[in-house]
Amino acid sequence: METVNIKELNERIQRESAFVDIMTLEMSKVIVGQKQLVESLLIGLLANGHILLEGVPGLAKTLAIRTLASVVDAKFSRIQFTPDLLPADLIGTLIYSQRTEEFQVKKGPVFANFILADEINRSPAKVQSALLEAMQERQVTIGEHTFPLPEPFLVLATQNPIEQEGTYPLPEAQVDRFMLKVIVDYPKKDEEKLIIRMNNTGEFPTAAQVLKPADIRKAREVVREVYMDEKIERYIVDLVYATRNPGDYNLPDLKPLIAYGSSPRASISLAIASKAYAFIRRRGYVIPEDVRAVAYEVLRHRIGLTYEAEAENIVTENIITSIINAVEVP
Amino acid sequence: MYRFIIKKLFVALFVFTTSEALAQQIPVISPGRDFQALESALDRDSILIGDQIWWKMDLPREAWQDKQIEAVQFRSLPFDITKGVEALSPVILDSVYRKKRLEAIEARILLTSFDSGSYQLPHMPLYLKRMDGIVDTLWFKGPRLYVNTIQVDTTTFEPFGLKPQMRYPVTTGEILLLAGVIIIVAGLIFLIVRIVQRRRKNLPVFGQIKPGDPPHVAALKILESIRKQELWKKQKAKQYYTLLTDTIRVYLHDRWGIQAMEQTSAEMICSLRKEKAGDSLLTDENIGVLEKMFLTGDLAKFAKYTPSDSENKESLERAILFVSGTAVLQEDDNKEEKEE
Repeated sequence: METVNIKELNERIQRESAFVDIMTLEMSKVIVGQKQLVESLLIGLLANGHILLEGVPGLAKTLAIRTLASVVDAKFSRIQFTPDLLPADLIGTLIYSQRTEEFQVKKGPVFANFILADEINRSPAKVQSALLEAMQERQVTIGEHTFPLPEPFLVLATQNPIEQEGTYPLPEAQVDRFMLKVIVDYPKKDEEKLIIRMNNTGEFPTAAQVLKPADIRKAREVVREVYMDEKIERYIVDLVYATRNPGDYNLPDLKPLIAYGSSPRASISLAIASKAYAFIRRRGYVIPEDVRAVAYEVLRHRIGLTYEAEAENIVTENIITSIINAVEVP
Repeated sequence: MYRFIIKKLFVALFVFTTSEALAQQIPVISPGRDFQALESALDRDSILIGDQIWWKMDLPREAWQDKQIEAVQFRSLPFDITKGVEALSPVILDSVYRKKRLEAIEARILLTSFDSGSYQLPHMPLYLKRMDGIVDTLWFKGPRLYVNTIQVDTTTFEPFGLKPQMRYPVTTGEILLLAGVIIIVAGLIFLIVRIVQRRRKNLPVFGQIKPGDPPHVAALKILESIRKQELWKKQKAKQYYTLLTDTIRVYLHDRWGIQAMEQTSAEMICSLRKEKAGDSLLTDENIGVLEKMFLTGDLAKFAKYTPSDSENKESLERAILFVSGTAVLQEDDNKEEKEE
């Protein structure tokens, strides 16, 4: 029988999660609005999960990631994915040195703590595969040598939902490797007014460096310790199962709309992301609200829609909403 | 000996059916005055013109018993058996066995006639050739065959047409059977339609749902049973709070139509705040009481928190307070209260 001292854990989380507020504050100096985006970046950072950002150009996707990297004392790489990019441009290659008459390893930009894979769908599958393999394995092989990637290692990929001509959409199996898919929306009116003012004055505040990679590693350990009751586990499984067999959850109307449901990786991601969310909320235990808060980000890219659903302009968010409204909360 | 005879008989049958030459050797003899004829028969006594009929002749075992027979031979048939009757087949021989013993030999000929009238078929000779060369002649009596013509309507000189189908009067039994089937089918259709309709409305197939207790009465009854169970004393705080919150969820659904079973604590509080504007009984105080109960419940259910006895009792009191404070009292309840 697992014994957890929740009181002690809560106190520990109160202590360890103090940086969350500071970090959010620093990021809000640079990013106007986009609280959901900032929170999702934090969840990804704490849950050790990669994030796929999708939004039209100009919504501060790249800025948010760059700011996150600047808040942490960590190495940051930005890779602009283009159609002529090669895997070697990403992971590195062997270069022959005439002086030493030996091949030397030239590490690529993937050897960084934070990777911004900008417009990931602009590169062909071989480059995407190289990055996604590094994401999964957390190591890269160049020639005969295998190099572990630094910790923390977080890939934040962006893709543009419009201008699909000449793009290489990520296959479902590779999209599944991203823990979260965050849809970045337009700022509110007041926020946009503030953005104009900032640009007019030309004064762009910068975020201070408040964290070290070791702090993140420590926080991740605490996140893993966040208590998740069996009732919550069952709730997570129910949500994921409902994407596969909606008929079992009194949702027969969804069956013709879903081509395939979420994988077990979705259950794992939902559990760890819920823990990270509880940590951000300074709680040592997960409640159903935490699961619901991250459900859209975790599940939206893991549900396949049928042609029928696409013809009816149904998106995965509609499916998730129906499931959340139908599955009983513990 | 017996086996030998049978064997020979078979050989004779085979030879007879295959050899015309043998038939040529056997002399044709007319029946004498004192001959003893064997019986033969037609399938039926009369036929219509052009109908076909079998003429059957049985040769019983007694006819060849104690004799060594080499061959059995019928006279080769002319096309006309007799004037007006034609043979359509040769004599077909067949053997009849009983308990693996040859009991008789059957012969049959297919006949027809194209002239109406009464015909006496000729006696048919059968030759039994013995091993010692003697030929015995057996005769089958020729039966009488009546050939009828098609009836002709003398007024029109044309054959009568086929008889129309006879219409029998419908009996009471048939009517009752049909009526029974119709009633059963109609009953089944009615039952299926009713089941579908009632299922859609979530009602029982037969009878009416008794009007249940008002939401607050039902909730208070369950809360009272929870109090009596005293689950927290049995180290079942988690189960206790699950029951408590589920009871309140059902109450929220029945009282305001909130889909509380699918909502989290925060969402339920949010939904109640939305309902507050249209319900004078729903006050901030009431909602606050419930919020505290939910908070303790969430801790017990999801955070391994073990509330003290006083906290457990307090949570129940809070639930009762919320239900009592937001109960819509019906007229009957008011009357009862007045009477009291």
